[in-house]
Formats: sequence, C-alpha cells, structure tokens
Amino acid sequence: MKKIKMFILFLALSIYLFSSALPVPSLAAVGINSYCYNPRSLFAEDITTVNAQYADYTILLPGEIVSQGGGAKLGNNDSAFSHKIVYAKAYLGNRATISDIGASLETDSATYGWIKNLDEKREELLSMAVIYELSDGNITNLFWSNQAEIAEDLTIVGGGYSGLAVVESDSVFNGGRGEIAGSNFSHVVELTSVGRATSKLEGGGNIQWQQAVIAMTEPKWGIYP
Amino acid sequence: MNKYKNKEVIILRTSVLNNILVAVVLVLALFIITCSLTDAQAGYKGYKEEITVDGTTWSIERSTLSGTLEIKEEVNVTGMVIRDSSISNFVGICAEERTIAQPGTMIFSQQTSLVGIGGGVVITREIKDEGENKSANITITEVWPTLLSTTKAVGYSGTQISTEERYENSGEVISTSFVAKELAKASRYDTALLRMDASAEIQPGYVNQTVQINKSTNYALKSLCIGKAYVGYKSGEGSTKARSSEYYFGTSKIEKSIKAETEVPPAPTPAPPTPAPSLCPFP
Repeated sequence: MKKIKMFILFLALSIYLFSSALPVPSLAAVGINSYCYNPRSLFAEDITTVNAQYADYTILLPGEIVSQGGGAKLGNNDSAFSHKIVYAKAYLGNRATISDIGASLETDSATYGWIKNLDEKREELLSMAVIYELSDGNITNLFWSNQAEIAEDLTIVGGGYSGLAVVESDSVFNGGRGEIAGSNFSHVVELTSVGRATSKLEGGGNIQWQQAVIAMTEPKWGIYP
Repeated sequence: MNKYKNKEVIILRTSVLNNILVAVVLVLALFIITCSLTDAQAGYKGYKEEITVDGTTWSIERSTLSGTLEIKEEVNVTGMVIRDSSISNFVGICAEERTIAQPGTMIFSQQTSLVGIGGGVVITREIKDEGENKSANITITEVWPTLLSTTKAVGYSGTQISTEERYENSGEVISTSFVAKELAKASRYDTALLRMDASAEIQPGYVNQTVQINKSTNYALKSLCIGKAYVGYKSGEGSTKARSSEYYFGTSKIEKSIKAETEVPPAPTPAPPTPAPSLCPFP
C-alpha cells in the first residue's frame, strides 16, 4: 500500500513537473509554482498571470487538502493567464485517481475571471470555471482535463461574445453566445478527446450564434499492482 | 532569493570495526539498541511555494513526518569504533553525530526520542500584475509540533578518539568536537518547535520577508578531556545574531548549558478566502 501511494504521488509529481515545462504566456511576469502533500494526496499548481490578479488560500491537514481561489483581468492592455493543476489521491483498497486539469487564456481586449476549487470533503472534488466577454478583438483559450482538451480561437469586429468553461477531473465544458451587427467574426473550436474534431464558423452582417461542446473522458484511475 | 529547504532523511548507522592488525577485538557487555519508527512512512507531509515577480523569486520548502523515532543503546567496546548517525530536517530540526575511535576502550550510551505531531498549514497567496505594478504576497501559518530529546554519554581511553556532535533547530546551531586520548563526556539536548509564521512581500528586485518561529532549546554539556575540545553556538542571521566558538587544548573540564527560547504571538485567524469573480448565469 505504501509503495502504491508513493508511486501515485511520484507519478502525479512527474506530471506536474512535466506540465510546468509547457509554454506559458509569453508576457508572463508574475507567477506561482507550488505543491503540497499529505500521506494520501498531492496537490500541485502552476499559475502565471499577465495584467491580471489572483488570490487563493490552501489548507493542508494530515487527511485533507482544501484550496480555493480566483482571479480576474486588470486594466485594458493585453492580458493572459495560465493555471495548471495536478491532483492525486490514493483511496483505501488501492484505488487511486490522478487529475491533470487547467485553463489558459490570452486576449487583447476581453474581460475575464476564473476560479478554482479543491475540497476533498465534497463530491465535486476539483474544478475550475472561467468566464469571459469579448466585444472587439481576439481571445485564445485552452481548457483541458486529463486526456480531453478544448481549444477556442475567436476574433470579433463589431459585436460581442460571452463564454463559459467548466473544467472538472473527467470533463470539460465550453459554451457561449455571440452577436454581431454589420461586421464580421471568426470562431474556431477544436476538441481533442478520443479523436479530434474542429468546428469553424465565419461570417459577417447581422448574425447570432451559439456554441457548446463537452468533452468527457474516463477518469485516469485503476487498480495498481 | 530566500530559500528554506527542509527534507527529511533518517540515517542511522552504527558500526563497529574490528582491529584487523591485532586481530583481537573484544566487544563486551551490552549492546542494546531499539529503534522504532511508528507510522513513519505513512506520515510524510510537506509543501513548496515558489513565487516569481518579474524575475525576482522567493521560495520556501518544508516537510515533516508524523510519528515517533526512539533510539536507546549502550555500547562497550575494546577495539575500534566508527559511528555516523543523523536526523535531518524535521521542520528544521537536525541532530548529527560522528565518532571515530582508534584502538582503545570505549563505553557509549544514548537515548533519543523524536516526536512529530500532525498539525495543519494554512497558506494564503495574492499576486497582482498591472502594467508596471507587479507584486505578490504570501502568508504561511504552520503548526507542526516537533520535539527532539537526546542524551549521550561517552567514555574513552586509548590511542585517540574523535567525536563530533551537531544539533540544529531552525538555524540555531550547537556543536561540539573532541579529539582526545582520554575523554569522559555527557550531553543532553532538548528542543521543541511548535509553530512557524512566515510572510513575504515580493516585488521586482525586492523581497521583504518575516519568519517567526515558536521554539525552545536546552543543551547541557559536561566533559573531561585530555586533548582538544571545541564548543560552538550560533543563532540568528544578518546583523542580529549570537555566536561563540571555544577551543581548549590540553586537559580541560567543561560544564556548559545553553538555553534559548523564542515565542511568537498566537496564530492569527487565517485570512478569509478572496472573493472570486462571480460567475454570471450562462447566457
């Protein structure tokens, strides 16, 4: 049992360290890189912000980790954030879960906010949510959960779009509604789950559109030797 | 950059080497050692925080173990002895001993207890990046009570003995060293660490940190030595520190006690969660 726990924590830490090496917003200037663990769980985060603020708290107890926080855009300049989380938990009976979730966003004009929540005492254990609104300009998003990933690239001239993403350990949801009047837009959503699917919509004039996509995957857990 | 690194390693090695040249080694009487590590492997916990603000980085890494370690031994040797033992960085508490004794007669006894009690850690973090205005704040309240108590006595007569002890609690270091033909020494080290409060404000090219630790230390030494003796003490850092180094050559009789205690105010109530941006209903 101890070997299994150590294996799980090592695996989770490896995922975290590997994901920490992934590209972060090029303008990244303020960031947090952290992990904490107790005998059953490991919780690791990598957060970078550009023209944004973020605050959170984490409570580490022998049998429980709780962490909640949120952030939002600051000012009117180019802005970005990237928030990666790796969470591993070993249960009694050798069952174990590893969650690798995150969100990143880069925009020249959109406003946005995001929250994260980890509470080992509740069923909705680990989740992130992002909201954003774009009037004129571009926004590039990436939301992922274990092996599912949704990428979104949206450019609007003379209109508006409101979007929402909810990321949990075994699913990613991304949806929103847009409207333009007499101008044009380009909206590309790419889903990578078991396979790969791309949805692309372009247009001009007076148009309203909606998009919603949910990516579900099997949680990465199992019986380990 | 400020860095605290705490890793836990337990190395406990006790070996007795026979005098090969003479081929006569008498290891007499009593060698009793009990060593138990209760629930140790299952009790590791720790955290690491690294905050970067425009190239200025502040980090902290702490870890501990919930459980107990008890060592009790009595050794009586005629021959050679090599001992090397260490308890490393249980939330900043360390104890090390190294002894090399050339052919002679040595009596050694030790009783050590290390107790780590499971507690909690609360960390709050805040980062802000707005144009030229970049900053980060972090506060940590760590309650991991840890106690170490160790008593050691050594008596030696022979060619030469070299024995060193080093104890540390969060930067407060007590060390002794003896190189002697005749030595009688008894020492006791008791230390406790109850809580640590740390905070840091980080800005580009600027770090302001505060670390307050609730701890206490008692050390007592009695020795009679024919040879060289050293006793050292060090506490604090920067311009606020206390330190002493004492060397004695020839025949020395030392009786020394050191008491140190730092206490910080009761832990503040953890800051309430920062209001997260409200998620408006899906359009």
